[in-house]
Amino acid sequence: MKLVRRAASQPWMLSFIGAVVVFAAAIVIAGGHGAGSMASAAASLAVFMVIVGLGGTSVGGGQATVLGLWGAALFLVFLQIMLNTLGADAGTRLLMTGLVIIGVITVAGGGRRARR
Amino acid sequence: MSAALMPGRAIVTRYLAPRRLLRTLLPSLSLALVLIAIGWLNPRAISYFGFNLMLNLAIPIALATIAQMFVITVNDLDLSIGFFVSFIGCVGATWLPQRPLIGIAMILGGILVYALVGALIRLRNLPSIVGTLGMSFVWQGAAIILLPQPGGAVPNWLHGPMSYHTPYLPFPIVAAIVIGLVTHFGLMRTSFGTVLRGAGGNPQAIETAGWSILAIKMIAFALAGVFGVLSGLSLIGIATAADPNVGGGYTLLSIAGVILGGGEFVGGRVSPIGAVIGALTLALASNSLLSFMHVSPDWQIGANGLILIVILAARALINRQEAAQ
Repeated sequence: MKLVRRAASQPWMLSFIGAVVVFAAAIVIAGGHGAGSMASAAASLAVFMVIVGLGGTSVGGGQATVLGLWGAALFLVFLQIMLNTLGADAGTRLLMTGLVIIGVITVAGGGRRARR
Repeated sequence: MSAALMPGRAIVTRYLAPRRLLRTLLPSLSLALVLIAIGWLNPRAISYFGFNLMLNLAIPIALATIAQMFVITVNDLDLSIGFFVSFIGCVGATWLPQRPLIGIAMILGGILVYALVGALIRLRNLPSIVGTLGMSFVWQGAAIILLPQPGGAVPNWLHGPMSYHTPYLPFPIVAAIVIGLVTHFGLMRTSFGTVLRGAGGNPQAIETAGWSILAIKMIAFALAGVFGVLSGLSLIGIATAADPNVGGGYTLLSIAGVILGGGEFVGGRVSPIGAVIGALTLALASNSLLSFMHVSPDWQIGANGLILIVILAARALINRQEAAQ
């Protein structure tokens, strides 16, 4: 058990675990869409970074928590659903998403040492 | 040992130690290697006309890389530069020709927003990655609102200079030399440039010395905005049309260019001339070289990444050996 824990804290092992999780996520996303595409990958990359940023590093003051990540992911999804329901076009949707992200980290962020 | 010899010796150990020299020359070596490969694959590309064609789109990339470099100098990272370039391009192709005053006001407003983002990041102690990523959504949205489909009309005074044919040396090379030398002088030779780099290297020391880190961050971000504007305007000057999504690739290219050119993510260690050379190398390697090698477009993105990893691995290896000494 100790050996497993030590191995799991190695950078290469973390990368490997990350790769496995990403692989699983990719299958789920492709399954949900019924197909995979390069464009969805590029868009998801930005969204994933925002989720990690909102849910962990900035709001939690540098400590990412599973609950924070889950909350941030839900928050972004609901934001998209809301903007779609309001009938916003693509440009307005992106603009609002960006403003909300900046608003949230401005209000909730600002830990002692939340440098990148 | 006479005292007169000492300064010379210091220069030798400081600048001419083999590994340090190798690290300084690595950006130029990578560029030379890419050029040799292109010349070997297609000798006719190494000509006035060939360089004009191959490096045309390198000018906006080099300008975006310099913009990114200013942000990296103060220990931040700008993920919004690509879509800011798109946004400026869309302003330049819609408002600038029709209502020049409103167009110029929008461009100046963009630079002001950049400075304010720098202030926000400093005041609220935000991670710059998330803040600028949020801004990239804002710029992309604004660009799409301005110009939903690629197109627009570019003013003649923008298109004219970008298609100018300089004697002897192709225009993109002249432009790259000018960009590199101007920013090198500004950042490495002036006292304010030193303060700017100091804010990345040791903010506490700069603050103790009486400088406002807030003002420095705002100026660094505003400078990034200025070069982003130049990048966007030069891009539409070359392409004669704007595309709201063209800048997406610029963000990562600009970061790669700065790092390829010898910059570090933290510590205010950047090299303007290296950044320009890095941008040229990336532009050549990602388009011309891979096309001449008959790599199919499907594989070009992957091959591009591979080239980048090889060059960065070489640098990491040299750094490690230097540290071990």
